[in-house]
Amino acid sequence: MVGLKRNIRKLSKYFMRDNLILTAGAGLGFCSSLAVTNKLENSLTMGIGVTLVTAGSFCMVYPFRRLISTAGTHHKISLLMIIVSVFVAIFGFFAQAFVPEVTANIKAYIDLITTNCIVLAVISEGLTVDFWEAQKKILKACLGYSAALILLALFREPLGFGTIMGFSVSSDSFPRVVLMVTPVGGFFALAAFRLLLRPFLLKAGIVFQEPSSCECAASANCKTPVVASRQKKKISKLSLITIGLGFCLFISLVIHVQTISSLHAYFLILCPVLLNALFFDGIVLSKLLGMCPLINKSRQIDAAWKMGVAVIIVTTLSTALNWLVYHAILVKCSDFLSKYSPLPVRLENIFYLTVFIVTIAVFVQILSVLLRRFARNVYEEMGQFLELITVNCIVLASATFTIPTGAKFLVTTVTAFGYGLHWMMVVVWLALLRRQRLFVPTTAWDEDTIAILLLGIMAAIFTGIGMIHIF
Amino acid sequence: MEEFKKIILRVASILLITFLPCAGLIMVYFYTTPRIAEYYDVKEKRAVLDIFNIPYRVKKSSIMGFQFKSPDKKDIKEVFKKNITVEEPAPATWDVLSAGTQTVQEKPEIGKKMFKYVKDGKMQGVGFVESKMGYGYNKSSTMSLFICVEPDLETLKGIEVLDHSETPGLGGRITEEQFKKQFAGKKLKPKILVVKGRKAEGANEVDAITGATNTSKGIESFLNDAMNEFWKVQGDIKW
Repeated sequence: MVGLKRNIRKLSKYFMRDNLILTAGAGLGFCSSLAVTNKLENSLTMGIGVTLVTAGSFCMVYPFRRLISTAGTHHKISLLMIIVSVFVAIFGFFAQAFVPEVTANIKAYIDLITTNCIVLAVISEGLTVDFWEAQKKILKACLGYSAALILLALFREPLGFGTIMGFSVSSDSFPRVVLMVTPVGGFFALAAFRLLLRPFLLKAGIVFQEPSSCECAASANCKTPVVASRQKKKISKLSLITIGLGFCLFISLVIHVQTISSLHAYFLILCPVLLNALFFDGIVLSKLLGMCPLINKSRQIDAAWKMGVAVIIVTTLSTALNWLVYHAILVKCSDFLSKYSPLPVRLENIFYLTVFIVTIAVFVQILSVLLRRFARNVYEEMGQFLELITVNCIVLASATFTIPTGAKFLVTTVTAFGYGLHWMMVVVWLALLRRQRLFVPTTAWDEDTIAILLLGIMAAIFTGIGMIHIF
Repeated sequence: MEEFKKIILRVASILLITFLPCAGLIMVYFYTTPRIAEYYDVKEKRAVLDIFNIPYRVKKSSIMGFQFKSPDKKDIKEVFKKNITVEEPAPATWDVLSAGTQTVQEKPEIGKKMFKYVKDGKMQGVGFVESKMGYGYNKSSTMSLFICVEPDLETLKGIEVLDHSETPGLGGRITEEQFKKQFAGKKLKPKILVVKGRKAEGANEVDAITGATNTSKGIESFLNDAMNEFWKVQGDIKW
């Protein structure tokens, strides 16, 4: 009995300590963990996928670690992501062939393993240590991730659908909590898990209490007077009038756009698309992506604004570029190949992920070079954010969600712009809310949990807005 | 010059490292594509057979008391071949392989892939697959329905949801039998109506899904638009 207890404790220690989702404070890998956990089979597939992809691509990268570590950070990240994307594509094909029913639901999120923060963080950490040591670490992180996914799914699926793995477990008369299935439920479930499990884990000695006066709280406290003493920017009368006039002009344009029939046709298509991407089906609150930068950057309002602007620019431009590359190069090439090759090859189905990643990486690199040359001061403010954006899920997501489904150029670009705008809106809003300190958290860990809770409330609000029928 | 050399070195190293996995990827592609294509093929055929009420064999197996039902793929294909005539549009741009994979091909403007069921020399019904963007709650993704009408082209025989990206549990309930069954025998002219708040009574009315009004409305306008296009293309062809 004692031995069993010890073993359980050992096992849970192995999974729970430094578990990136349930106990760590960084917020890595939240995106997929929230989105796929409404069914147990989805989370199992996702867990296996992450483990295989990480281990496989690490084996691929490890022999070249000297080459990689001498190169710069950006180069390292892009190279890692390219290799990871190839492995993700391989896993995607296998999943489609063997578990097609499950994959049909979560294909989008399998693609996005590429930008899963856990994969990248673990691989780049593993490059600095011994091979088997690193494999052990990878296994630990990935199994911990899978364990967290399964726990969340075991919580959400019986409540939401009344089933586990498709077999019904609760009687039909038991009410289904539909909320648990929706994205909103994901936030609430994760926050609840983190809040409820914490005392148990503390008591079992699996997690240790951090020093209670966390540094972020302290730094925020000493920052507050600085903010207060900063002079308020006065809005001059002229600018007010200009804003008002501009607003009126915009409204009148929107109203009178139907006088030009061709423009009106575009407007009728693009306006719902933009509104949809911006509010109803936003990338953060309903597709649950782009969490890690969201939680980390919303600590300060200033950083939130800058990151938001950078995200908008990169998302819109790189998605437009991706569309061009996809249609001009990939589709043309495979049309050309299909004339000569005996086997049907559709390059756009095989390499779309890799090509998107390459395009984004190259674009970000070029943008930062251009900024350094022509706008030095902008670069100094924005530069660090630009480097980070390559790893951001939403840049890749706005490409993979729209382009392979055959959307038109303008629709793709407008959707991407809407996603970027949505991200900025949410991050600034969250930063403002977190600044208010509605609850006073004692640790950094608790603060992140509360941020998740706030996001859940926001998502609930937006689901409500989506119910209003406008068009 | 030094910069340039560095960039060349980096690109070369990336190409070198990614070469091996890419080769593996292509092998995997060739291995899995037929399987994936077969799955979607069987899925489509099964939907067609279900709607026309044509029986096919279902394999039954029980493991540890749980009953598993899995349809027989071979039988589905045979039954399908025997009963259904598939009418392809004249310009054969429809690639069968592409149905199983990610891309939605640019569909030919006129004419669709038609499934016709002829029994005892009499036309029993016509069906076609329609996939469109911009309907339902999730407006920026495609929804794909199999719509089937009686030979008079005005009465619905049934619908089947092939592909959608609604929220599971809410809008995702359009795949449930209870919702889909309602459409059988409904009149499509003047237009189909999804009603909420009261019971559906008329010959062209169906009940909306509780809590998923947008999706229900989306299905409604999807059906109406699709049928209008269908009639326009069919024009004066009568069977």
